This record gives sequence, structure tokens and C-alpha cells, in this order.
Amino acid sequence: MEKSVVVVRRETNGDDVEGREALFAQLKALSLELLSLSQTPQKDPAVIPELLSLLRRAPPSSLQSFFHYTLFPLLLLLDAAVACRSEGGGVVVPYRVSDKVAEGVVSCLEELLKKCHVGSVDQMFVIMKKLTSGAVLTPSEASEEFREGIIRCFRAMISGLVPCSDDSCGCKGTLGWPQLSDRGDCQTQQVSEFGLETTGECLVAFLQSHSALAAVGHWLSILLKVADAEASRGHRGSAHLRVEAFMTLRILVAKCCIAMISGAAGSVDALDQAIRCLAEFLMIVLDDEANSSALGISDDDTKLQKHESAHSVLDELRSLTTKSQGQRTETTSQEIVKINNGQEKSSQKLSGDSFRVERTKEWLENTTSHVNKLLCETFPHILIHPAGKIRWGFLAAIRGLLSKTPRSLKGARLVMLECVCTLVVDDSDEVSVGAQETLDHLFSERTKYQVESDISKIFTRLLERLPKVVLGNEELPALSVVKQLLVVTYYSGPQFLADHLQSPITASRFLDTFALCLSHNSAYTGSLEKLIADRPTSSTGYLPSITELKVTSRSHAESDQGKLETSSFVIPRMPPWFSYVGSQKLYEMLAGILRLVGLSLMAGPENDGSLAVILDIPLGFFRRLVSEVRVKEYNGEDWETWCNRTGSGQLVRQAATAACILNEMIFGLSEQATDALSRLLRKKSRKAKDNKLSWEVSWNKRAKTHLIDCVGKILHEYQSSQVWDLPVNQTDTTDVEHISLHFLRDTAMLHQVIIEGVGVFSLCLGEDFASSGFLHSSLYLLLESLTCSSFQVRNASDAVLRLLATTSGHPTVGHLVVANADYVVDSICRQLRHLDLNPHVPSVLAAMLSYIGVAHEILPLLEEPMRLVSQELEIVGRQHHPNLTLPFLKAVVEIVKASKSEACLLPDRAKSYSDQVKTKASDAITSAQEKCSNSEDKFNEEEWEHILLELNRSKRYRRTVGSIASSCLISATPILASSNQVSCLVALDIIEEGIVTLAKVEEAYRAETETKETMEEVIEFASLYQLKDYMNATDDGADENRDFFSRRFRNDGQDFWKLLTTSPFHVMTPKHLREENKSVLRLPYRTISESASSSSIAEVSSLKVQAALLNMIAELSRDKRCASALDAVLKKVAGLVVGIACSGVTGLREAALNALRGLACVDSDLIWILLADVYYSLKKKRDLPLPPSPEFPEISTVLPSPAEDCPARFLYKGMQ
Amino acid sequence: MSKRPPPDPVAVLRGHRHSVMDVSFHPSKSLLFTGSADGELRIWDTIQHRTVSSAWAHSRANGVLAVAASPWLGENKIISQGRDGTVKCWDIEDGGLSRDPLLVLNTSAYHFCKFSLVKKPKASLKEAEGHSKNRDEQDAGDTCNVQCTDDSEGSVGDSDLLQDGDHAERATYVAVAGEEPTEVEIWDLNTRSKIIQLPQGSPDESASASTKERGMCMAVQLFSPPESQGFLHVLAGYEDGSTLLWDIRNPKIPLTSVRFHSEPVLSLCVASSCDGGISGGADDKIVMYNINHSTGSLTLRKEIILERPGISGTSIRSDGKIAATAGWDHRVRVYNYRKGSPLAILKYHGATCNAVSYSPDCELMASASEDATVALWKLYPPHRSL
Repeated sequence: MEKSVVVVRRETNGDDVEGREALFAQLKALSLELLSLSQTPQKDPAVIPELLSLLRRAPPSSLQSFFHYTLFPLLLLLDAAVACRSEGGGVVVPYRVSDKVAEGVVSCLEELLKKCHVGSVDQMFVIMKKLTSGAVLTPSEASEEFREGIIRCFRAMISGLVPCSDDSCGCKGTLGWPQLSDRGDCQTQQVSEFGLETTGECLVAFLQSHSALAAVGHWLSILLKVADAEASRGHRGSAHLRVEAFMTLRILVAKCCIAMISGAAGSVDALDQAIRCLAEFLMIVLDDEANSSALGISDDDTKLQKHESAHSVLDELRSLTTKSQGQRTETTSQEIVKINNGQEKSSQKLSGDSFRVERTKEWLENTTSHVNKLLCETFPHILIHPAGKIRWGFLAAIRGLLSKTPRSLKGARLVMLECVCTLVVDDSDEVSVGAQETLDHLFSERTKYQVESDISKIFTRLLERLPKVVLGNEELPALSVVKQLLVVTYYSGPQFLADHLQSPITASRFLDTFALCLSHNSAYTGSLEKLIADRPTSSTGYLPSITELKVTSRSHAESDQGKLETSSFVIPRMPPWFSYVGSQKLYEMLAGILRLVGLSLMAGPENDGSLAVILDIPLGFFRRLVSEVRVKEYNGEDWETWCNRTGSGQLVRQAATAACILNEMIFGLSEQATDALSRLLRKKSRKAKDNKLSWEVSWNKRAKTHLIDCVGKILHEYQSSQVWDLPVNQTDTTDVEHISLHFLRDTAMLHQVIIEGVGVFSLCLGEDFASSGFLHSSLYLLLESLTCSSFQVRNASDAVLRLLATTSGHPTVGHLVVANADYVVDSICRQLRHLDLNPHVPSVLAAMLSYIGVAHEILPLLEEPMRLVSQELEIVGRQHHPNLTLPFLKAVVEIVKASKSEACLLPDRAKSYSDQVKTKASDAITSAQEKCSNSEDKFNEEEWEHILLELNRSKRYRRTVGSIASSCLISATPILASSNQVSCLVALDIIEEGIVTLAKVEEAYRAETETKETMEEVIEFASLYQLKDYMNATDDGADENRDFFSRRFRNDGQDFWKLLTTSPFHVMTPKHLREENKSVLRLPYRTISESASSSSIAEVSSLKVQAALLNMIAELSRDKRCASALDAVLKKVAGLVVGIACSGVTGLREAALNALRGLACVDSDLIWILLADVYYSLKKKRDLPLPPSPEFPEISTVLPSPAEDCPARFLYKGMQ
Repeated sequence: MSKRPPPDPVAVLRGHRHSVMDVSFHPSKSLLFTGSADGELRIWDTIQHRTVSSAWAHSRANGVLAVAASPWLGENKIISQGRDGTVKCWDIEDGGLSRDPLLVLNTSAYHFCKFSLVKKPKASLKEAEGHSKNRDEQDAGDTCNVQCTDDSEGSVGDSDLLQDGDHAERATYVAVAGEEPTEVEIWDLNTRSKIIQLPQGSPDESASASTKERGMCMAVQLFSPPESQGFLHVLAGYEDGSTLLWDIRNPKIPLTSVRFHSEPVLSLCVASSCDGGISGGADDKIVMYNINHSTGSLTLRKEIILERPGISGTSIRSDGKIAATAGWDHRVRVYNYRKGSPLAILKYHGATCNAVSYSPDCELMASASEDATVALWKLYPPHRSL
């Protein structure tokens, strides 16, 4: 009571007396209640919330006056609460203070401490003591909120401490503002300046003083213990409490030596704080400048205060080191936190004496060795922390350490540099930009030389570690190492890398490392889940097809966008086998290094052709595969034995890996890669001031040629037939072989990577890809891959084709193919010539024409392949490859469709041209007649020549279309009789379309003839006879039709004629037939069983067959256009028919006469002579009446009279 | 010996509408020139395998008979011969043929003999290639020739037959069978005039009678052997199968006359070393022979008998290792030129082959055929000195 009166009296000279009095009145009532509460227990007292709200309301200035008054009962209650909670204390308490009360008290206390300053050292000591007893409570003793409240109170108290106004005071020695402050940490409490002058002593100075050391040290350990305890409780632990503990720690430390700030909430923040805290300590303790004596720069002048506990602290540090190592066995994230704790603790202890330490050489060595050890072990773990904030803080810490303590922490410097390198390629832009700035800064400084030597050390070290981590089980450490290597490579400049690859040994070792990392072996190193999840062939049925569908639909969606942006086809892609080991990201980083390799060999002013030398290393794998397959071909082995031989599979896989490496190396030289690289590593544009570090390639002519040569060399290997002969599915091989699915899949992946490589090269070379002839060689390959049985290969070739189309400025793949149709047709013709080696050609042709739908545009070019195709569809061809009939027919369908659509345009075009020429001609003629007789000059010869040429051109085109259509018809017609329904239907389609085409062509021909007549008139009129040459120059078209059928009759007619010769004279039985001719006419599409089933042919039916044959001959010979087909065999046929006609087999007489009538249309003389021959030979034997007689047919009535000059005429006359 | 099938052409150049009569590579660029029977002259890119340009060099009715480019002609010029009695020189500066020829020689010859540009030994070819960009040095080389000229006195009317160093442009000569088809004429492209005809018209009737017996000149090669001090030599094949070697210093009488063939000689090719050659004719023989310049004689080296007669074109690769022939049987045959042993029979063309030609870098061979296509082959590539 007395106290309060004094206070009141002291404050009366203030302005706001009334407000204070009101406040005091309320406080008084509440304090009294609190006091009574400390005596008598009460379950849920209303006083505490009331007090809290009052404290919150009250302005700090008024509250300061009643600080002590309010503090007293709160401390009393706190004491009681702590006492009843502590288990080991043995203190007798009147009753148990409930949690609610205890927590309320603590928050009131916090609010009070926030608003008011601690007046004196004694007061501070009292509060600290009370809080200490509360803070040491374990989680089992006190509630989380209570403990947190205690810590908050402590923080509130010490953050309220403000340096005094006395300039000479020791409190000025603190840094004032934290070195690693962050925007998020800036919520420092704004403490009122009020009442500072009231106390004479500086509390900050006291805290730093020797006498407070024990207390401060105690508190440091308490705070760490609290944080540690929470962490060790795992999920039950309170993150808030931990954060609080660390924040308080930082503030305490700041008050002891540095000014500190507190951060936001969250466990991530806790770690962040911890890291920053640690770095700050280290920066102070191991500051190079401060330690300059110990570092041996200058000696014994800067001996600081000595502290006796230094050795003990170091002992503790040692034990902590082992402890943290022990903890490392635990799993990742927790482990990081823990290690951090341990480290935190140790360094905390260290810092505890840092402001008292004697910086001797031994001390420094000892300390740094421990710290280095700790840092080397923990930093790589913190580095891969998933939270960006931590990494940001971590970067700040490293930056600080590197700037302040580069020499002291020499041992950890490499690790720290590595960490910065990793952070350069960070997900968070903020972090990566910061890291890039740091690295740039490091390289720009005087210390550059040292940094560079460090970097080269790191490079070697990382290269050694690379395969181990990549093939290791964990993704994140691998990723960080690969990132480091990438950044190190980038920052060390092209020259460095080129030098490294100069020696063949290091170069091959380097590439071997990557081959190992990217190899298929990695499939076995990844986790089992990945393997199961990615396994494409593990399930059969609908599942894979659904995924395929998804991909297709996506690729279609892509194609729609692809018209606008080329970047939608991401090439190069991650090789399919790599998905087992790592993510896309890991691959990108690895690929990034390879791209830099490619770039480094071309960058720089002089280019010594080393790229080709380096490329030879991976190409070697390819060559080995090719030569192995060649040996297999030479030995005539089948695929099964080859594939099952040891090492074959390995060769295929190595080749695939090599292809992947080659692709990436070449891709590094493309603009896209450079852009991506600068996006990744140059987030903030920096001027390339250093020539040595510039990755620019000067694309002079020599460099271009060199690159083209290299690509040519690679493509040569890529396109070698041996590689593409490797089977992709079981049906590829004709024999029944069993090749393991793994092998087939490996081959498919190899093909996929190769195809993507083609895309990469086109991307890299741009226009030069086509002009160097690479398009010619690879276009067909891509189109062929569209029909591959492996979906991945199909998809890849589809993507690459689209890419080629977009890069060469074509809106669709179709346009690309049309523009390069000559290349495609050239390749197809080449393949068709060796059908036995390339059995896929027909299906490729069909697929290509239908996929791209451009057949009508490249029609003129299709004449040659069509010729070859129709050859293959003839009997001989079909007999050789019966399985190819259908694919060929499908190709023919596409071709005939195209020719139809072209033919439909022809008549109109021809007609309009004819009209045009007619009007022109009549105009010219009338005008010439009007003028004068000598008007030849008036005729513009050149113009007419031009018209004539145009006519010839359209004639030629019409003929092309016609000949294609007719060869389609010719090749399809025989197949109408096929027993294979599908072939039959396809053939019908062809014939339908073909007939329409021919009709249109005919129509166009008529119009052309009119034009031609007009032209002739003009030529006659104007006597431009020299033009006549042109007119007939192109009139030499031969009718393929006739050739074909006459050939057919000559070659295959034997069987028909045999039917005729055998029948009338002896009974035609199958047995006879078989005896006479082992191979009866047997069409390839008739199965053998069918011919066997028709074993017994009745005499009547054989007669019917013969009659039908005779009728066929009659029909054929009567039709003027068909008759020519019999040209080659006319004599034989005529002889046969005459024989039958005179043989007296009555059943055949009608038909034979009919046939004779028909044959007489072709050559009546021949028939007359033959008949006369028969007549006279018969007459010699017995006296025959003149015909007509019953035995001899009434020939004169059926045959036309023979020609005038024929000897048979006399016979005819005689007969009459 | 492996039983691998003979290779296919690396590319087939399609585009001509008529029989392709002749084919020639550009001396340094990757270009190919072809002329077809309808008068079209096409320029192809041998890397892209595409037509660069196409033009009507000669009338459509008569067609192109022969095309040729040569390092001595210049980078941007080609010469074509038509069956319309003209030889035309074209500028190909802009990638295509100039609209009008640079010059036209009206030889009034309407026969089947392809013209010939001068062939020089490989050494001087190399020199010329090396110096092609440096006109001055080239001129210096020519001056050397002039000095040689001065040494050789007493030759008849030959001062203008030499490589004249005083001219800014190099003198280039073309040999063709003349207006009188039994004679060979040599034209100077610079002066556009006929310089000489072989045999030179003389009052001596017997000489001309003897040439008349030989019939028309069917094939001609103009070359400048190193032993002849820059004087041109002419090898000519005749209708009766005889081959004559002329030194133009003595235009009246040939140095030697041999009859290797029983039918008309259709094609002659002199190796770039100028010490031998190959010839093919309408009979079933291919003949390889040596030319001995000191004695002025032709000696038979190797006679290859064919299954089917008719060789319409021959070519020897510039490294003198390989020779190829174009046959009427649609085949291109490749021989080891030194041993005369057969290496390959290439079957691609669907009609008579008219000509074969090797690229100067020995990498490519082109064959032209009546089936309107030109095939490019890559066979027995030379060892590249890296």
C-alpha cells in the first residue's frame, strides 16, 4: 500500500492525472483480488482476464508508473504456479494453481513487460530468477502454453532493454542492428522511450558484464533446451514454442553482443532463425579481421578479454559434435533439424564465451576444425531443405560467412561454395538470384584467383561423386550435387572445360561418368515404387492403352498450339529409361552439363575441331553396335541367338545412352539451349565483362562447317540400317523367334532417342539442316517410324516431324512432306527396289499417304513408285510376298484416290483452256485476214509457242494421271478374284475410283484434242511449221494395258490352252491333268486345299469350262480394244479353236463357231487359211461335199469375206 | 568375298522429262549440271539433291548433247553443246543460267560427238585449283607456258594455240567434231573462232581419203600433256573403231592411229595424268590404253570384253584409281583403272545410260540415263587426308 502511494505521489506532476487515477483505481482492485487469489484457490477467477484486458488497454506511459505495483502480485502468483508444478522441488504449496490461472498470469506478465521497462538491475534479476524457475519446467510438468508464456515474458523483458544514453557505456559495443536481418523479421517491438532516464544504470551493459554471465549462460542453455525438447517430442512438440525459444535466443544474444530481431512464426522460421543465428555467431567469433593475429597476419596486438571457461566450452563442443553425429542416423528432415540444434548448441556455447575468448592460434585451430567439421556435415542437409525460406536464410548465412570468415573457415569454404552453387539453380527466384549475385560478386573480387582454384577443386571432387549420388537412392542430394557441377562448370568458363577435355583420358573419363549416370543401369538403383509405377509393360489390356490415349490426345492438343509456338515440343526429352532413377529435373541438370560440354568445345575465338574428337567417344559405342550387327548378318545368325548372346543387350543400351549424350551435346549449341541456360543461370542480366567466361559461340563459317560435319557424322551412324534392323516387336522377325521383351523395349527406346536426336539436330542447325542434305536422309526415316509398333517411337517421330515442319516454316507436317516429296519418293523407290530387305515399305507408303493426306499433291512424283508397286502386285510379286499384298493394295487405294481428285479437276481445266485458245485463234486469224495477205509476222510466234508448250504440259500431266490410274486398275483387277475378302473389297474400291479417274481423263483428252486441232489450224494458217515439231514431240505414249495383257496371255495362257487341247479328245480327269502338268494353274491367293477339293470334275462340267473359255475368246477378240491382248498368242488360239470347231464335238460347236467369228474380226485371213487347211486335209482322206455340210461348219455364213490380197480369197471363191 | 548386293544410288535426281544426255560436276562447288534431249539444262545441288535452276539452253527439238565445266573456264561458267550446231557458254553467277549465253560458237555440227574441254595433268590442276582465286599467280603460270612456246620453233601456225599469258583471260579451247564430221575442230572460246581443224585441209587428196574411210568422228578428247610443253593434243575416236592421236603442232598427220574397236568408238576419256585413257564403243569392248608421249604412240593396256555391247560414256576419277562406264544395257560398270579389274555393276537405270562423271573431289559419281533420271553414287570413297 505504501509503495503505491509513493508511486502515485511521484506521478502527480504528470499531465493525465485523471486517467492515471482511474487506471490506478482499477489496478488496485484487481491487484487486491490477485493477492487474495494467491491465498485462496479459485477455479475460474474473473480477475485475470479483466486484468489482461486492462493491461492491453492501458497506455504504456501510464502503466509504467504502476509497474511495480502490478508486478508484485503477478510474480507472487507465478511463484506459486511454478512451485506447485515443479516435481523435484519438494516445496510445500498451500494449493495447486490451476493451468488457467497460471497461463493467465503469464500473459498478464508478458503484456506488462512489453509495455514497461524494467527499472533496475535488481528488479531485472528478480524477474529473471522467477522466469528461470518457470522456464526449466519440463513438458511433462507444465503445459505448453505456460512454458511458451514464460519464454515470451523473458523475450518481452530483454527486448525492452534499450542501450542507454551514455556514450561511453559498454552497451554501445553491440552491433545495434542484426547482420542477417530479413524483411520478415522486422517486427521488432517498438518500445517507448519513456522513463529511460529514471534509472541510473545501463541494463544492457549489465547483461554483458561479467557478473551477469552466469545468468545469461543459464538462459542460453535453457532456451536451447526448450527448443530441443520440443523438437525431440516429434509431432507432439509445439512449433510455436520452439520458434519462441529461438527468437528469444536471438534477442538475448543480440542484447548480449548483437542487436537481434525476432521472426515470424512457424517451424520453418525457427530453422531459418537458427541458421541465421548460427551464421551470425560464427561471423563474430571467426571474423577474419578479428582473428587476424591467429591467422598469422599480424601478431599479438589484439588480445581480447580472456575467459576462463573457454576450455570447458570447447569440451562441451566436442561432446556435442559426437552427439550430433549420432543423431545423423535418423531420417532426413528431422535429422536436419536436430543436427542444426546440436550445432546451434555448440556454437551457442562457443559464442557464449566469444566475447571473452582469447583469440590465440591454437584456439582458432581447434574451434575452426570443429566448426568446419560440423558445417561440412550439416550444410549439405540444410541445403536440400524443401522450404524456400530456409534456403534463403541459408544463403544469407553462407554469404555472410564467406564475406567475413573466408580464411578462418577455410576447410568449410569449399562446402559453402558448393552450397552457393546449388542455390544458384533454385526453385525460388529470390534465392537463385541472390546466389547468382553472390557468385558474381565472388568472381569479381580480388579473391577471384582463390575462388577459381577452389572451383576447379570442387569440379574434380563433384565429378567423382557424381555417379555415386545419381545412382544413389535419394533424389535431393543427387540433385544438389548435379546442380553444383552445372553451376561450377558454368562459372568456370568454357576454356576451363575445354582444357579439361583436352586430354583424351580425362575426356573419356568425363564422358564415361555421364554414360554411367545416364545409363539403363540406373533403372535398378531407383526406388521400387518408381520402377513399378513407370513400368510400361507390366500390365496388359486396357490400362496402357488408356495412357497411350491420354498422351495422344495431349499431343494433338499440342499440335493445335504448335502452330503458334514451337516450344511446345520439348526436345530433347528425358530418355525413357531415366525415369526410374531420377526426375525430369535431375535429368535437365545432367543434360545441362553435357550441353555446356558441347558449347565449350565450340565457344571461344579459335575452334580447333575438338568437338568432333570428343563426339567420337560416344559414337564409339554406336559403331560397336553396328559392327556387331554386321558380323551377325555376315554369319547369317538369326535375331534370337544374337539377342540372347551375352553383351548384345548391353551394346544396345550403351548405344542408347551414347545417343542421349550426343543429342544433348549437340543441343547445347542451339539457341534454345543457350536461352534456357541463361534463364537458369542468368536471372539477372549481367554484362559479360569477362571474355574468358563468355559462353558465346561465334558462328563463323568454319564453326558452322565443323558443326555440320559433326552432325553428319552422327546422323550417319544414327541412320545405319543395322541399327534400324534391330527388332522392335516379335512380329518384326519373320521366323518364329522368341526375343525377350526387355530387349525389344531397349531397342524401341534406342530408336526413340535416335529420332529425338534428329529433332535436336534440326533444331540446332536450323536452315542448314535441310541445305546440308540431312533432311533428305532423315525424312523417310521419320515417316517410317510413324508406323512403328512401339507407341513411344511413333510419338517421338510425330513430335519430331511437327518440329521439323515448324522450324522450316511449314504450317503442318503435310506441307513439309509436300515440300520435300522428292526426298520421300526417292527413298521409297529405293526401298521398293529391295523389297525383300524392306518389307515395311508398302505399309509405310500407305500410312504416309493417309497420315499426311498429300497424295494428290505429289501425284506426278508417284509415277515411279506406282510402277514398282504394280510390278509387285503381279502374280510373280504376289507369289514372292503374299503377306504384302494387302499393304500394297492399301497404298494403291491412296494413290488412286489422289489421282481421282486430280482427274476431277482436269476436264474443266482442259475445256476452259481450249475455249481460250479457240477465241485467241479466231481473233488472230480474222485480224490477220483483215490486215493483209502477208501477215505471218503478225502472228506472235513466241506466244503460240508458249500456248503449245502449255498444251504439252497439260497433256503430260493428264497422261501422268491417266497412267497412274490405269496402272492402279491393272494391278488391282486380278485381285478381285482373291479369296481374301479384305483384299477383294480394297480392290473393288480401287477399281471404282480408277474407272472414274479414267473417265475424267478421257474427258480432258477430248478437250485437249480440240485445242490441238485449233492449234493445227493456226499453224497451217500462219505456216509456223517449226512449231509442228513440238506438237508431235510428246506423242509417244504407249498403252501399258495392252502390254500387260498380251504378256499375261503369253506367259500364263498355257494353262488355258491346255484346258482346250485336252478336253475333246480324251476325258479330262484331274488325274490326267496332274500327270500332264504337275502345276495346274494355281493362283497364289487360292489356297491349296481349295484346288485339292475340286478333284473330280465331271465331263459335262469340263465341257462347260471349255465352252466358257471359247466364249471368252470370242468376247475378247470381238472387242477391238481387248483383241490386242491376244496378239501374241493369236496363231495358237486360232488353231485350237478351228480344231475344236471341226472336231465334231457337238456340245462345243456353237461356242467354237462363236469364237471363230470373234477371231475372224482380228484376222479373218488366218481363220480362212486354217479352215481351208483342215478341209483339204480331211478331203484327202474321204470325199467330202463342199461345205456347208453337217460335218463342216457353215463358215461362209459366219465369217466375213477375206481381204482382197489374201491367198485365202481363192479358197473362198472356190468354196462358193 | 561378301555377297552383298551392289549398292544403290545415294540419291536419284528426277526432274528431266527426256533422256539425260550428259552430266558434269562443278569443279569446286557442290553443283551438278545435266543436259537433256529436250534442250533443258538443269543445275542440281548435290548436297540437297535438288534442282537449283532449270533453263532451256538449246532448242527443244534438238536438245543438249553435252555439258561441261572446268576449273580453267572459271567458277561461274559452263559450256553446253546442242545438236543445233552451237556450243554455248553460260554464266551461272546468280545460281541459275544467265538469260542469254555469254557466247555462242556456231560450229554447224549436227552429229553425236560430244565436245571436249582441255584436260591437264593433275599437278597443274591442283595448281590451278590452289590459285584459282589468285589471277596473278595463274598468269605467272601462263607466262611460263609462253616461255616454253618460245623454245619450240618451227611449229606450224601454233602461236595462237598456246596458253597465252598476255591475255587477261585464260585462253580456253574446245574440241568438237566439225562441220565436216570426219574432221576435228578446235575453237578458241575467247576469240570465238575456229583455230584449226584436224586433219588440216591440204591439197593432198589421199590423206583426206584415208580419213574419210574412218568415217565420222564420234568422240574427242583435248588434253595438254606435261611433256608437250603446253601444246594441245587431241585424241579422237572414229566410226570405224579407230582412235587417232594428234599433236596440233602437226595438224596434217596424226601421231598415231590404232584400231582397238571393231565398231564406232563412242566415248573416250583421258586420265587426268594424261598418260593413258579408256574408251568404249558400240562393240562389246572396253579398252584401256597408255599414251606414250615420247614416241607418240598408243599402246593397249587392258581389254575388257562385255556380255552386252555398247558403251556410251566413260569417265576416270581424278585420282586415277577408278573408272566407270555407262552402258546401253542400262548398267554402270565400275573398274579399277590401274588393274582393269571389275569392281561393281550398278543397276539402277531403267534405260540406256548416256554418261557418267566423277566429281573433282572423287566423292561422287553421277550417271545419266535415257530414263530421264540422274543417279548419284558414292562408291569407293577416296581416303581423305585429314
